[in-house]
Amino acid sequence: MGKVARALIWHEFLERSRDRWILVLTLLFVLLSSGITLYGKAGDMSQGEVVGPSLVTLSSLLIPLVGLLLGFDAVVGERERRTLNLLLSMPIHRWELIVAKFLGRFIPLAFAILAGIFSASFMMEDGYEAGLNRLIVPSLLLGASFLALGILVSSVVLRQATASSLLITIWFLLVFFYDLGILGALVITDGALPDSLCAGLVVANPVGLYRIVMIQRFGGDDFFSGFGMDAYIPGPGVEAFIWLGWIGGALLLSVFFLHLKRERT
Amino acid sequence: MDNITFHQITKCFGRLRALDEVSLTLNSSCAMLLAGPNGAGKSTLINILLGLYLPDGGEIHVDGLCIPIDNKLKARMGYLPESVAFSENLSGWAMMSFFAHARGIGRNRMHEVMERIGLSHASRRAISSYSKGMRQRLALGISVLHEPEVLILDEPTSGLDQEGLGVLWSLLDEWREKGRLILISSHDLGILEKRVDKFCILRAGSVVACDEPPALRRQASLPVKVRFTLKEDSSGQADFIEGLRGHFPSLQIIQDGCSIRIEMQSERIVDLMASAFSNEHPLIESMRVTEPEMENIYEHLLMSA
Repeated sequence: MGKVARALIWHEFLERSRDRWILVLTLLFVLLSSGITLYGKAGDMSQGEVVGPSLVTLSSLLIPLVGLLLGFDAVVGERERRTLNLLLSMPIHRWELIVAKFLGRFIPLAFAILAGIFSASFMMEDGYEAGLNRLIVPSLLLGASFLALGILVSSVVLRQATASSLLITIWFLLVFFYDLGILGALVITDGALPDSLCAGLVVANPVGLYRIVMIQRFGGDDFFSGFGMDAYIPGPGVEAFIWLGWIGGALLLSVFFLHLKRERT
Repeated sequence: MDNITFHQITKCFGRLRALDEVSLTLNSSCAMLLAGPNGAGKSTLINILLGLYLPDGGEIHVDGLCIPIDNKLKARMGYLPESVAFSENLSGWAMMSFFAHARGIGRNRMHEVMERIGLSHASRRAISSYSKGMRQRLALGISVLHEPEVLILDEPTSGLDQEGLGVLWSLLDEWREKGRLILISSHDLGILEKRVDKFCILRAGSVVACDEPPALRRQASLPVKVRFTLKEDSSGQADFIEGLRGHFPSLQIIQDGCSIRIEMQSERIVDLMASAFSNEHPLIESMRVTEPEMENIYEHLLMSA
């Protein structure tokens, strides 16, 4: 990466770190994860069984939102402020600009995620906190996926207001309605959809993948079968492929749209 | 860098031909002003020079060599976008630091530029507290931070007060003295008229006229305004006007009290003066010749194209 891209990473980090919305959401994540831990400690059940899945649920709601919020104005914001051409007039490639935006904004996102997980971990009793550390890498990947998705939206649209509306829609669709959609399709087809297709669709959504993998890690291999469910748990290779597919795919498409949009700036 | 030549540059957006075989040359120590109505192709031309757009036809020659606008060439350019709005939550210094790091510029130069643009006292303040003029000065400072060989300014006078204009003029003078290239796009012809060396007037993607102001004046051949102020002597004034009418029967002479206004082609002024002062008229208190303003020449050339 060139000098301009490296400077842009730092600049993006500095700028996003001062974004009040990101600070508020980070604080909210810390408070809620700490609250969940305190609540878990109060019960008779094993802390790992209660706190872990609850944190997964909380993370699967909040992390995508923070990721999208961090990414949605990455390109369109520069375009509206007329600084995009100024950036591109410097010696920087378009792919470098997208990657620098991603990396610079990933740092405050990672900080928010780590702050939430470590604050929960800190309140856990000895022996249990290690379990929560298993949340770190998948949570960072979940955040990175949605950050890349936010940057993609930002590269496609021409107005920041459009990007923010799309952001909310994507969040609702992937976090709340995606699984309901699969369920609805099963009901409509009277269960005729192949199991492999349903299982594939569930884990194709980064939120679904995150939930399944994390709940299985906290609950053990028999967790789903204990409830009479037969969940498809992707292997590490497939899991890595899906994560990288979302992150890399979204970033590649962002570069493509940035190239395309230069003719319409 | 001695010159940049646009050779028959064409750019289309769908069916719209934004630039139609535009050819012009930027020379060192010369500031060129791109003028034209909205949609004339000024921004498209600038974006092509900055490497943001690829031309559909034509070539760009730098010092006689046909080369693509790559990162090496971009590093030698400085750009001030129109109505740029930097992040509100950063300070002017933080914003300039980013561009300085990106260009590999040290703190001394940053201090020097901040001082030059008159923002040293406010450099640590958030940009949200800056006035429009201060923001424009910051953008101007950022565009010259790395002392580019080619300076491209899009509407540089926008929002600038007298102090800001002073900064802009001194930068233009310095760049010209150092033999660098300057390309300005602006609608403020009146303000910039005396600050640039060459005007390039674009209309609907084509060059209408491109030359130095005196040549454009000749090309437009608009009349100059001559105003005589006479002493209060009604019979003498009548004789004077009668004398002028005798020499210049086709001229329209308008009398307003003691002042007389005449519009005529500049090449006839010598004849007029010879006639007016032939009898050593004690009646003439003063004579003032006003050349047509660049805005009028611009409008005339646009209309007649």
